[in-house]
Amino acid sequence: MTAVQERPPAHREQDSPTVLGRAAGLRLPRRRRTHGSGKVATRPLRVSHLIAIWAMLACSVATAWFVFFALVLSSLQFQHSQHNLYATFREQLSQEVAPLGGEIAPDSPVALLSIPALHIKDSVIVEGTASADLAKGAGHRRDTPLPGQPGTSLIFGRETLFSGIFGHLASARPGELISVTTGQGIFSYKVEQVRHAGDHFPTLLADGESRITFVTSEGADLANGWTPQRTVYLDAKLQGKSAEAPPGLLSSVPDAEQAMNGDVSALFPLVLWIPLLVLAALAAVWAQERWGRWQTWLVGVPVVLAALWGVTETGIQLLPNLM
Amino acid sequence: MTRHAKPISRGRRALSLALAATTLGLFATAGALWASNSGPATATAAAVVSASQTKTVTRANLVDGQDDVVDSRQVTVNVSSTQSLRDRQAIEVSWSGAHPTGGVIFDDTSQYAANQEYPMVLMECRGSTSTTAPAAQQISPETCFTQTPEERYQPRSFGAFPPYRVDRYASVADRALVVGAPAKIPDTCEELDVGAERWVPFVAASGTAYYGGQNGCAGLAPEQSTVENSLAPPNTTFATTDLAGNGSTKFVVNTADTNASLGCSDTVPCALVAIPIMGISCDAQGTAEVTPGAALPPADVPTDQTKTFSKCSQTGAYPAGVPGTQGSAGTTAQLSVTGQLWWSASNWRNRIAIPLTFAQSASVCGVVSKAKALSFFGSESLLEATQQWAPAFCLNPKLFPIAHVQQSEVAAKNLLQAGLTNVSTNPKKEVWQYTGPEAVFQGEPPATPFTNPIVQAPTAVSGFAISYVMDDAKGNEYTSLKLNARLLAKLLTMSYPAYPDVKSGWKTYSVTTNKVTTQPYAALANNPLDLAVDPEFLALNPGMTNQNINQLESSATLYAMSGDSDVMTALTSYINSDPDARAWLDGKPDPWGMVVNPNYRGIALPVSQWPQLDTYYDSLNSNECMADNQAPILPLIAAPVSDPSIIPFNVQYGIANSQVVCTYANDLDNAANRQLVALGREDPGIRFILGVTSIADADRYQLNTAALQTQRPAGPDATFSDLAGRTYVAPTDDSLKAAAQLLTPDTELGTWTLPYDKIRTDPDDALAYPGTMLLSTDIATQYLSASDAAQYAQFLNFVAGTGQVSGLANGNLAAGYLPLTAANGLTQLVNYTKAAALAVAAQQGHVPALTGDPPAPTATDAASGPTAAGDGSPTTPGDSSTNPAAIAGGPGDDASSPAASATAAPTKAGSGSTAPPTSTIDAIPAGKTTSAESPLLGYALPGLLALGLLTGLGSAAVVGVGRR
Repeated sequence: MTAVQERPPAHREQDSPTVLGRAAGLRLPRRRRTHGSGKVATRPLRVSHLIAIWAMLACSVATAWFVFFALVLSSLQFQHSQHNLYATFREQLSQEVAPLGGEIAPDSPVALLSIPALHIKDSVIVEGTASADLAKGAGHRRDTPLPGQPGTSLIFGRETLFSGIFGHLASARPGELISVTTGQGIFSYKVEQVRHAGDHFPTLLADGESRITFVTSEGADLANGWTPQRTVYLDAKLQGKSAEAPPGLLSSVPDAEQAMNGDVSALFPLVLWIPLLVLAALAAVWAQERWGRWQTWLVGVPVVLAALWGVTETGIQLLPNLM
Repeated sequence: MTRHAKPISRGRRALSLALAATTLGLFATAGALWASNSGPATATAAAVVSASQTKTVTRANLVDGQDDVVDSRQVTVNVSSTQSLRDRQAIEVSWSGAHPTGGVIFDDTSQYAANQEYPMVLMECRGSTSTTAPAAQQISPETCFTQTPEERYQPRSFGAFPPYRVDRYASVADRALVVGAPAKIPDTCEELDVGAERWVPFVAASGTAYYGGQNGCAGLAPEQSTVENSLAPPNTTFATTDLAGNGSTKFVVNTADTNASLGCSDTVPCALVAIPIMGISCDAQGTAEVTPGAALPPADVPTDQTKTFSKCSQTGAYPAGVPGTQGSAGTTAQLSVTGQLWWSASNWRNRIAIPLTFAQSASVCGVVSKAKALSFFGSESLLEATQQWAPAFCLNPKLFPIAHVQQSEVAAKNLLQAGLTNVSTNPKKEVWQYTGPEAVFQGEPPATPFTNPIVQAPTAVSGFAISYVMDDAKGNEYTSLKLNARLLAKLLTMSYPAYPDVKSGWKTYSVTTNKVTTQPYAALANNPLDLAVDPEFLALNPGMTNQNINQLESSATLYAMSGDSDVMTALTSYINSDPDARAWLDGKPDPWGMVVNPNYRGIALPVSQWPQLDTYYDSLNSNECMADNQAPILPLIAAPVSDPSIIPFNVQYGIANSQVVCTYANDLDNAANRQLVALGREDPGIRFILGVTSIADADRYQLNTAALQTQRPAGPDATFSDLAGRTYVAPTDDSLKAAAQLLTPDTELGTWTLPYDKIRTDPDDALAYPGTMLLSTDIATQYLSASDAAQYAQFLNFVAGTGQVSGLANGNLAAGYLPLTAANGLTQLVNYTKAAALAVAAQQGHVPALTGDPPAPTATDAASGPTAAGDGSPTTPGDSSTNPAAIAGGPGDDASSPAASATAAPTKAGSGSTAPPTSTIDAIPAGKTTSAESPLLGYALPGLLALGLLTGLGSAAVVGVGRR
C-alpha cells in the first residue's frame, strides 16, 4: 500500500498498529509514509499475528516466572514463613502453651527440628502435610503422634522447592543425632537407617518407645528437570523416655496430605487469582493510555507482581507436596 | 491511516472481548466449582430430621351460593423422622387440633378402620409434594397405597347422589355418575344398573393402573389383597383422634424392597400424607364452579336436593370416642364423615403432605458391584450395622463389597476354628488355609477358647432387649414394662400352664416308673396361669392389673430363637447371675409360691441354645393336629424360631407365633390335610407379646423394650408390692455406656466380659444395662491370603474410626449401637481393634495382648503348623508398630502408616521389663517399603519449562513470518 493518505485530524496514537507492539517492548517497523512511489520494505504486522505473538509471549513469560518462582523465590517465602513461625513458637514455648497433641490446627508450629549433619538448625515443624503446609516448613502428619510421644511420628519435608530442607536426607548416616523440641521437652533421636523402596521395615517398637520417620522425595536434579523420582525415608529412634500423648488423634488424613500428592483444592483460589491477574494486566494496559507511562509503571508493577505471586504460590500447591 | 484504523480497533475490540469473556468464564467456573465442592472424604453423620406442618382445615357447605362454614380447625402434624429412612422403619406421627373420632376401631390399620367417623388418615404416597412439579409427578389419590380395594372404591349401592358426588370442591368430571372406571369393566365385577360409582385406581410405580373394584375384580397390585393380610399388615392407617383433638401412632414406612408397586426409594420421592377427615363440603344445588365458567351439566345436578343435602351434611352418628362395631350390627357410621371418602376433593384438599426421603438401600450393593464380596459370618445383632455400612464399601471404587451372612454365632465360631486345614498335596510341605469362614461376628467369647491365632476385635457395643407389645386393661398400649431375672426364667422354663385345663391336669398327672408313682407337676398346680396374673409381674407393673386375659399362650412365654445363639448365652448369663432367679431355678419357690417346671429344675446356665424339655401332653386341650403325634403343649406355645429376625417382625405387628391352631384343607378328619399354624395377629387393645431381639432391631422398628432389674434391696427374698429400693434399666445410650465402661478384659478368653455381679451389687453401677453385649469380629491372624488380610484390616480400621460415627447416612453407625469412642470411655477397645487390624494385616500369627502385659514371648515362624502357633499365649510385647501393608484406604498411601498408640490405656503395664531371651530375633514386620510416586504432576517443572521455551520460540517465529 503505497498511496498517500491524509492524516485524519482526530488521529490518536492508540490507533497506530505499533502501540501494542510498543507495549510489548517490541520494536516493530513503523509504516513509512512516502510521497511518491517509494516502496515500503516491511509490512506492519497483522492483528492476528499480533494476538498470536502476544499470547505466546505471555505464556512464555508466565511459565518462566513460574519456574523462577518455584526454584528461587519460594525459598525467600520459606525463610519468611520460618521466621514468623519461629517467633510464634518461641513465645508459645516460653508460656508453655505449645500444642501437646490431639487435634492441632493445621499450619500451627508444633516442634523445632535440628539435624546438625544435614545443616538443619531450629527449623520449625508445622502441623499438616499438604502442599501449602510444607511450603512453610517441615510438616507433621496429623494422624501420627508428635515427636517425643510413643509410636511412630511421620515428618514430611520438601526436597527441591521452598528451600528443600530435606534435600540431602538420604546422605544421613546411622548413629547421627537429631534433636526435636516440642512443648513436652527436648528429645534426642538417633538415626537408624535410610530406607528406599524394597528395603525392610524397621523393627517393631516396644510399648513406650518412639520413632520418627522423615519422608521426602529424591532424585530430582537439573538433568531430569527437578522431577522427584521416588520417596525416601529416614528412621530415627528416641534415646530416653517418651512423653505421654493426650487422646484425640485423627484416625486418617485426607488425600491431599498423603505423600507425593498435590492439593486439588488449590484450584478454587487459583481460578480466582487468575482473573485477578488478568484484570490487573488489562488495567495496566488501559492505564498506560489514559494515565501515562511512568505512572502506570509505578502503580502497576507492584499490583501485577502481587497478583502474579498469588497465582504462582497457589499454583505450586497443585504440585506434589514432597517436591 | 483510516483504512488501517478500522481493522486495528476491531482487532483490539476483539482482543478485549476475548479477554473479558475468558475472565468471565473463569469466574463462572470458579463459582460452579465452589458450588459443587464435594469436600474431603470424611464421613458426615446424618442426623434425625423431624418435620411439622400446620394447616387450617375446613368444612364449608355451599348453600344458595353462600359459604356455610360448618367446622374449621387448625391441625398440626409432627413426624419424628423424615429423612434417610429405611424399609419397615417405624416413625412416630402425632397431631393436634383434629376432629375427635367417633366409632373407634382399635386396629387402625384394618380395613374396617376406614369406617370410623372423623379419623386421621395416614398414608404413604408416591410423588412430589411441590405444587409446581408437573402434575404427573405430584402426589394424588391414585399414587397413595391402600391394601384393600374397599378403601378406594364406592359401589353403586348408595343411590344416585351419595355425598362424594355432591362434593363442592370436586371437578366437573368427578361429579359424573361413574368416575374412574376402567375402559372395560371385567365380567367378574357384579354391577348394579343404577347408582353412582366411584373407582380410585392405584397407579403403581411402573405405570400400571390397578382398578380394584368390588372384591378386587378389576385387578389388584401384588401387595394388595381382598382380605387383611395378617402376615404383612399394611401401613395405611385410619388413626383415632382423642377427645382433646390429639393423637399419635407409629407409622411404618415401606420402600420398594417391601412394596415395589408403591416404589419409594432414595431416587423416587414419596410423602407421608395425613388427611384429617372433616367430612364432605356439600353442594346439593349443583352451583359450585370449581373451574370458573365450567358449570355442572344438568344430569349431575341432584334431583331431590333437600334429601341429598341432609345426607351429605350429616355430622356423625357416633359421639366422639365411642367404640364402633364391625359388620352390620350396631349403629351405622355416616358415609359423609367416614374415612372411606379420604380421596374426595373436600378431604384431599385438607391434606397435610410431609415429604419423606429414604437412605440408599443395602440392596444397591448387589446391583452395583460384581466384585467378590468380603464375607463375614454370624451375629444377627450386627445386621443393622453392617446393612448401613455395606453401601459405603460397595459404592466406593477404592474399597470392596462386604457381605454379612447371618448365621448362628456358635456355629460360625466352630466353623472358623475347625476350618484351618492342610490343603497341601505334598506330604513334605504343609500349606494351611481357612476353608470355611475367615471372619465371624460374635456376641460372646467362644466357649472353648480358640486354639488358632484368632483376634477378637471389638466392633460395636449393643445387646439384647426384651421387646414387647402389650395393651393394658383399658386397651391402651403399655410402654413401661419392668422385668427381673426371675420373671424371665419363669417365662423361659415353661412354668406357666397357660391353659386352665393344663393347670388342672397338672394336679392329677402322675407318672409310674419302676413301680414308683410320682406326681411331678403337683407343686405347679398353684402356679399363676400366665405372666399377666403373676403377682410378681403385677407388683412391678401395676399399670397392667385387671388386664383382660385374652391371650393365654403369648402371655405365658418369651419368644426366642431355637438355635445356638450368643444372645441366648448373654440372656441366660444375666438370669444365672441373679441369686433369686438361680435359687428359683434350683427349686426354691418364689415368695408367692410359684415353683419351676420340674423338667428345668437345676438347669446349668448359661446355655447357648434353650432346650425344650417339657413333655406334658394336654389331652383335654388338644385339637386334632396335636393329637396326631401327642405333641407336648408347652413347647408348641413357646414356638422358638430359627431365624432371629422373625422375632422383631412379630413384635412389631403383634403376631403370636405359638403353634396351636389346627388348620386343614377341606377335610378335618384326614390327618394328611391338617397342620399346626401360628396364632397370628393379635387385635390391638388385647395384645400381649414378648420377644428377645437385638437393641438395634428394637430401635429401627420402634419396639418397646423392657427395663431389666439391676438391683434390689439387700436381705432375704420376700414378697413386695412396689418398686422401693429397686432399680430397673432400659436399653438407652446412657445405660449402654455405663455398662460398656464396666467391661473387664479377660486374658484367658481373649476379650472383654460384662461383670454382672458388679451391676447387681455396686450402687455406682446400678444404671448399667445388664443386657449389654460387646459385639466383636473374629479374624484369623495367620494363613489368610494377603489380599483378604489387607481387606479385613481395612474393615477393622474403618470400624475403629469412621464407622463409629452415629447417624443415618450410609457408612454411619446405625441406631441402637453405642459408638466405640474415647468420649464413651472406650479408648481401650478402639485401640485394641486398631492393633488387631495391624495383626491381621501382618498375618504373623500375633494376637495383640488385651492389656499390654508382657506375655511369654514366642517367635512364631510362618512355616510351622497351627499347633505350634498355639503354644503359649500368642501375643507380642506391645503393639506400637509400623504398619507393613498399605492400610487405611486409598492409593498413594505411603508405606509407614500411623501406628496404633496404646498410650491412653490406663492399664498400660511397664512392659518390656521382662527381657526376651537373647535367642529371639526382634520381630520385624513382614512386607517391604514402597515408594509413593507422582507420575503426572512430578513432571510439572520440566513440562512448564518446555512450554515456555516453545512459546517463546513460537512468538519469535510469528514475528519473523509477519515481517515477510
